[in-house]
Amino acid sequence: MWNILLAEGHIINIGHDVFKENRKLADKNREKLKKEGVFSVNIMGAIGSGKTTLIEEAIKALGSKYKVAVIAGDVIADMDAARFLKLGVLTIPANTGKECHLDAHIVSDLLKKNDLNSYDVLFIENVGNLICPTDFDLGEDMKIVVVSVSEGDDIVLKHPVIFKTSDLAVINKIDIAEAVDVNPDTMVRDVKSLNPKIPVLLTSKRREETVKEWVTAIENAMLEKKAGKR
Amino acid sequence: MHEYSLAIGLMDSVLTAAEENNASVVNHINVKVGKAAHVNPTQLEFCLKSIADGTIAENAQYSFEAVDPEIKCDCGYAGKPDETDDGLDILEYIISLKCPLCGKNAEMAGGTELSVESIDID
Repeated sequence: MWNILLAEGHIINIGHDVFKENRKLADKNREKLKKEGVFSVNIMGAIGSGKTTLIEEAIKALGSKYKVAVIAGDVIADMDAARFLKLGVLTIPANTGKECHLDAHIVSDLLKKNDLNSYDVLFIENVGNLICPTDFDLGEDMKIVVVSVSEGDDIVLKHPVIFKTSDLAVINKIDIAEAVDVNPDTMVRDVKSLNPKIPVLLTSKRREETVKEWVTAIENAMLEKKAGKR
Repeated sequence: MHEYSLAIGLMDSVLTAAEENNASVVNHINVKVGKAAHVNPTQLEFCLKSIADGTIAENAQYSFEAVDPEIKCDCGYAGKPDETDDGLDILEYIISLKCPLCGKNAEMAGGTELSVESIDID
């Protein structure tokens, strides 16, 4: 009898969740940013969907009213960081190297090294990827997913989780929709079928009124948060 | 895609627990994977095996238990989704999550875990 038991060894319960570790750290980031009064936005999206451009537009519009900082995350972050620096905002490059996403650990390190106490908004540009960033909470107040019409109108349904877990969806580059044979309304319908509650913006850098809507969405979310409504 | 860095964290907890219990060998590793996490068990097993190489867990067998997310529906229902076909890939699965009461495509909660539940050691 003992022989059998020994041969089978014994079971040790562990229950160690690697994502939970990330979430714990993310909660600490969230707490720290809240104390400092910083509204943080995690901008995720496809490669080349226009994340950097949309953040630039938001900086241009909000930079005169508020103190803005940006974390530029990428496999090699320097190119995007250079674009933000030109706009005169605090720019923190986050090279992820081989990693396909930012995680709470990277953000926590950057928050330790950079004092954001007097800042109003922190944009965190994630690595261009619609899959991996979804699994990693950073401690942000708002999650935004950006895709563009040039990725094809099936891009939304191919990546359901990110649309189910974001607070705002942006479909960008609508000015070239016809050229790439895509109907943006199909993409909006797909987003809503996955997440009926999520607001969806159709944007293009070349259409001023859509840029305005984009900026307003962020500003309103920030003001609501600061007023304690979010 | 990020299975390797996740596997490092998992194997770390396996070897720490094995050491704390004076194990000479790890026979079996039982992993729980949430169906809404973007983790492919086949790739994860490959990474875990390569990290375990040269350790007391190098010959361990693996089992992976898939965990359904819970759903929160506008109709007031909160709990497990309606049963889905096991053969679905993650994409079809997430789209097919329906409320068992009203049949609507409902909001997802949880299902994102990735943990070593238990190990079998000697």
